[in-house]
Amino acid sequence: MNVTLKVWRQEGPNSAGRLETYAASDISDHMSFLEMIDVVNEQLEAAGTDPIAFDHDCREGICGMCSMQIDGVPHGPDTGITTCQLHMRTFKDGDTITIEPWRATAFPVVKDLVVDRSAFDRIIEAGGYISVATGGPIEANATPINKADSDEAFDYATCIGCGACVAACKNASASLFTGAKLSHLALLPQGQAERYERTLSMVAQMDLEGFGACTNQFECEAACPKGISVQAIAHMNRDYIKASLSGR
Amino acid sequence: MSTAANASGSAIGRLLSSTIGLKVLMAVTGFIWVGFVLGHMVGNLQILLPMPADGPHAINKYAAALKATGGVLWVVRFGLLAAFAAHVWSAITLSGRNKAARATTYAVHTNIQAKPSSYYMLVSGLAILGFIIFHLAHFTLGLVQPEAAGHYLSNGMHDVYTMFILGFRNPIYAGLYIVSNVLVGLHLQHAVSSMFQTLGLRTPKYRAYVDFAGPAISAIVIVGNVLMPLSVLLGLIGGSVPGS
Repeated sequence: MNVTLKVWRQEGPNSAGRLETYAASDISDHMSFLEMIDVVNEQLEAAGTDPIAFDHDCREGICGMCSMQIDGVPHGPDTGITTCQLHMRTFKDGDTITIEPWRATAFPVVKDLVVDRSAFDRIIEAGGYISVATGGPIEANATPINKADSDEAFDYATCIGCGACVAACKNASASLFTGAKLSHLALLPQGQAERYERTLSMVAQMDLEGFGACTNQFECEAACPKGISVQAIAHMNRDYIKASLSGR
Repeated sequence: MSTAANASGSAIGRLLSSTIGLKVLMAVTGFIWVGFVLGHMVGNLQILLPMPADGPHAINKYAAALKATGGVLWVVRFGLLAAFAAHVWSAITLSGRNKAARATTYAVHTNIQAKPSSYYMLVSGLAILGFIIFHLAHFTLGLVQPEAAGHYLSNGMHDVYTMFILGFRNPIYAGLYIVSNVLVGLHLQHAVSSMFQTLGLRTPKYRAYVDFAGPAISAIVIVGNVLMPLSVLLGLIGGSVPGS
């Protein structure tokens, strides 16, 4: 199949970018979207042009690196997948596909489609962990956990920090990410000791990074490759209100 | 545990500075106004009641009873004004932050599941602000149509019924109220469900009710508030009032 790509090209963080048009010819519909870009890049290199820079790592949907906005949707049109799991058979021969980097002030463009997502790391550093004094490992079965809570915590723990939620949100809000990271710990016994302090710290860091507010359109939930529910945001807000009112 | 810059501080400080705090302020003040809009609508729907054989119309008695509360009425009015001001202030503050959070926009944007009304909250909200100012000038202060507002019954009671009928016999004013109330309805369609989610109350147990509440209250507000000017415009009520 043959498709036309309109790709955001930007040489560096401070350069002006623009959409460039490339032809992707003789593409197998079995190829993943990233493999298609690999082919285009080989052709660009052969022609002496700088290849398209894009983030990628595991190529099996678990690392969360392959950030790109494809025709206005994070990771492209299919639901519940990352870009590496998107196949060219999703598109039709002759399609024009627009590829842009995640757009958020908190995720500055490094080059082309590569953005700096270390704002997420700093939100985690603000409290997305539990403090455990060292010592002998505790027998896992000695801590009883309600099944529903452990299932819900696990759903939130599937967050791979890809940033699709921020990319999809019209306000570039990191509420789903922060909510998932907070709720996953808030639902488990190990997360209780620092629960409210953690909520205040991580929300403050989220604001400090310059992410927008949640407008409850739930585009994040629809774009999340792991299908994390906006229930995480309700959970975060509830804990944030409690933490604020308790005067901690 | 490390503490980010504004994690500490008072509850009020956080309420007025953090994104979640500002959204909570918007939800609580919005809740107050949803209550007012529903109460206002139910009270005024009395206009549809038939004119009694003797004595003043129900809406005139209702208006007189509200005014007779004196101090309470003013407390409620100032409370509503404060809630409205806080609602608009938080909306404008957040809107500025939201725009800054996406300084560069996408060349192509595709909507996945957002309701159309949710995209125009600031616009519909500011239009409603303009409408409320007009509405107060029209019916509360009687500045827009002094000839309609200046009627009194023989017992000295303000004739709200006549003001109402003459106000909506004018197709321009009736049309303005109909359009404005549809905007109020569209605003509430997203707002009411959104309010529960912001306050953390859209839990799996109540999710279906919360998601139903927005469209349901929106429909009630549109039907109830459009019914009043429309009934006058079509001549279904107010036959006893002379003039145009």
